[in-house]
Amino acid sequence: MSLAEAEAAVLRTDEPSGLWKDAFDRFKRNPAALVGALLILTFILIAVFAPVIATHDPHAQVGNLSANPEGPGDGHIMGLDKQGRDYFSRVVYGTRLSLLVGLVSVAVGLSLGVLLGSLAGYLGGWVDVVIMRFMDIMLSIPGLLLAIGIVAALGRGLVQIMVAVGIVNVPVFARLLRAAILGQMDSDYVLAGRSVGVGGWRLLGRHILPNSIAPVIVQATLAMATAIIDVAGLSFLGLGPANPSFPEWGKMLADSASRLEQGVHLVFFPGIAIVLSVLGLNLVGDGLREAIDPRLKT
Amino acid sequence: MLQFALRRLLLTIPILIGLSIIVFVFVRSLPGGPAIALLGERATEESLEQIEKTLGLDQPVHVQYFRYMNNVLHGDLGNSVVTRQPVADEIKRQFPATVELGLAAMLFAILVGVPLGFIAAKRYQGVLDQSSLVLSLIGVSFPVFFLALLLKYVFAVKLGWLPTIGRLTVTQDLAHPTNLYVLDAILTGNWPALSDALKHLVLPAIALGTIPLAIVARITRAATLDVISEDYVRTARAKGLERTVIDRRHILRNALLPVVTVIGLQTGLLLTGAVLTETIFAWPGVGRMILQAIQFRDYAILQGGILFFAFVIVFVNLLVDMSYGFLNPRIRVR
Repeated sequence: MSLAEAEAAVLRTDEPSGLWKDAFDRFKRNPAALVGALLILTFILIAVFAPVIATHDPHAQVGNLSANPEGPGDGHIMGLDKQGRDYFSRVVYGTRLSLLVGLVSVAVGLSLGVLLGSLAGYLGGWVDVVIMRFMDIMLSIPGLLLAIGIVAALGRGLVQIMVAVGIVNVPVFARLLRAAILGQMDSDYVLAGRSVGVGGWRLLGRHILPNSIAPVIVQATLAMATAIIDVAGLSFLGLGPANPSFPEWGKMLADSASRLEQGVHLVFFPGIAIVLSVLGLNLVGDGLREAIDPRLKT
Repeated sequence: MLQFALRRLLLTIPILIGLSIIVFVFVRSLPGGPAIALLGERATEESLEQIEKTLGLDQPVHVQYFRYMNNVLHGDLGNSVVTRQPVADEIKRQFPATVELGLAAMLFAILVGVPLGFIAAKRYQGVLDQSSLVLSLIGVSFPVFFLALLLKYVFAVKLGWLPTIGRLTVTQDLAHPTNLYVLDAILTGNWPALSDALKHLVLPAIALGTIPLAIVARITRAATLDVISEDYVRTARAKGLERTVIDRRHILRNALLPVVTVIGLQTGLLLTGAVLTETIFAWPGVGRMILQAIQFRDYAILQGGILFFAFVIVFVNLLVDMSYGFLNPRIRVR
């Protein structure tokens, strides 16, 4: 055994814990983050098992048409809506749409943001200047307003909404990733990689990106929370997914907003569903941030 | 300081130009284009051509852009299709309502958020601290429109304490020198109108101010915790200064720096929230105007409104940067 091999063997016995394992350990010890994770898990389960959990068909009329629909009770945990449909089942099915839209829109924003952010951070120079100034401009238009504008231009529809809400997030992701990449560019391992001839894109994809992505992942969790609120907001404003009979939390709120006295349960339950899902994502996002960078703990 | 201000001012110019290009392209990408937007779907081929000629739409794109910018710089944002009024006049008429609502919301956020965050930090890890953290997290998770509806239900429908819509009871007679109704009432010494305007302002301001409140409280708490362990605070304690003096002059004054920035950065959030809050409370501001513009396909208003909001945000961010340089001289050196 050569000296180098012996040294390597000694080093190996001391199992490195790694960023993600450390982070996971810290995350597990954070009660708030665990509550958030539990909330998210519950909503995911509700979305997946919606047909099992829902007590009625969300589209079927099971009670009377009424301007003053029944409140909670009597076989309907959350009462009925004005079309006589079981409200609990509608809120349950609404979970599917909200989670889907949150996930897809963040995926859209994330992929574009990661692409632009890594180009800007890694290539630098005029590419950086052009991309980042463009991001600055996008940031100066309020998120929901930008989304409203995009939906107005693309037309109403589920896909359009996901794209619109996703695009709103692009500059945030791009900025974060660019800053993180710039922080890595002077590292020894980047120099080492370069000196042994690791090519440009391989160096970026295999080495720099995995080391810079942590803040972006945290932001993605928080962005999903905002996405759910934004989509509900767009629906609330009448710019939601085109099919009006489909249960969507924001739309359900909007339908009952003008006549609160006729059944506050119609506003309360979808609203609480939004708050709990968003709260869960915010708790997890905060927990992840503290877990990945313990210095940020306040 | 002057140099810093000038450099910062120059930096906003490319952003403003970029913004105008985006909005310009955006309007061109709207379904049907501006000519159909103006004349409606059933317009004849001839009238479309006619209007395209009058609007200069038959010219090359860059010519159109420069003409459009020339108009914007002269304060001409086009005419509303619905009211036939100049967009600039509509904005001028409705913006004070948004400003009044935004200021009230921000005031609410600061007056409650700063003391809350400060006290939480002083009782670090205590019950009050923990509960303020939980509350602020719930606060940022509450969609503006849901909170607005709940407030409206409890305080207006159930208790009947406060009005639900508009800025003023119709029967109130009030002159409008500034169109900021609260200020108008004070200037003209119209006390019944003042109390009426304030009552109308309470619910929308709380609904709009809650998310900024949660954020301001969190930042104040974090900043206070940072400052509280500084050497100069310990020195102040050691030389026997009174606790209130230390709190006010040494801790709070330094902790408020990041808070100022955050308050400025909330402008975008406030304007976005204004679209929803104004709609729910039938508040006649620019946010509601933009939304109605979408419903009526009034693209001139939509374009002007978005451009205007974006300009306001750029301008406020500029002010924040300057005030930051002013409050913290170390920034100016760089």
